Amino acid sequence: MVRVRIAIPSEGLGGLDGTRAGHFGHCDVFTFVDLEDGQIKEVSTIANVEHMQGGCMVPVNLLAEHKVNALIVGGIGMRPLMGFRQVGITVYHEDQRAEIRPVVEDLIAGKLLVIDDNQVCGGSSK
Amino acid sequence: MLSIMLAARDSKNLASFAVGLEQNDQIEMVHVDSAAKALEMVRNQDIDLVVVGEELADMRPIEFVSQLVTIRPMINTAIVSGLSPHDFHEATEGLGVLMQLPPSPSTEDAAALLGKVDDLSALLGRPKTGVAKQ
Repeated sequence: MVRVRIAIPSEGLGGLDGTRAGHFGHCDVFTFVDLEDGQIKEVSTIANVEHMQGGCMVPVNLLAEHKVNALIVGGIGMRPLMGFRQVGITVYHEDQRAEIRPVVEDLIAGKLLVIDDNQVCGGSSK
Repeated sequence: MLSIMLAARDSKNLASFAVGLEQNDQIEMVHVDSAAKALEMVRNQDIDLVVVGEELADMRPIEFVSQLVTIRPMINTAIVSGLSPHDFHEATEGLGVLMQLPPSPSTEDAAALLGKVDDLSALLGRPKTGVAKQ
């Protein structure tokens, strides 16, 4: 049995029918979607932690502790992206849709791409 | 113990700041003058925090931090910069810089930086380093 946990930075209460947050570090909660053999088995949420300048390893640590395998973001900085890679979390990029469910379905269907270094946010990408 | 690297071509402007750090017996410091030496060192040694001066011998500070985060993203950084806070934020967005330090930072700036290190440790759920108390 193949188990995968997907994390989606979310606004408000999150959940599969919720809305994604544009900036993962400032999201209200992370929605976790647990898959078994490619099927959704459970959906849960955890609160994000307080954000501080330079604290982008805090959510990296949080998601690693919760055994997340994949993260879907609309945008991310170079440092947290490298942090996620270092802890073995694959980061996927989707910046067009605000809804969580269709984006998760696309990830399951293999339609989302892993984020590239030149897609990171901020001055470091220039 | 907190391991701090000072990376600056000329450490004179960091003298007061360095004194503020060296007074703390929970801190060990190393000084390098170039990005090349700094990047080599972080590959081989455990460094917790890199403080980057206004100039390095071989690279612009923000470019150096851009390279540093690809090698060791868990290392925190602070950069000495005369940019306005807005311009500094724009220039370093995505690099997760813990603190902008003013040109010729003081012992008080050193204490403020150590306070931020402790705040970050608390958010990570780790024991406070204790360096901010001394």
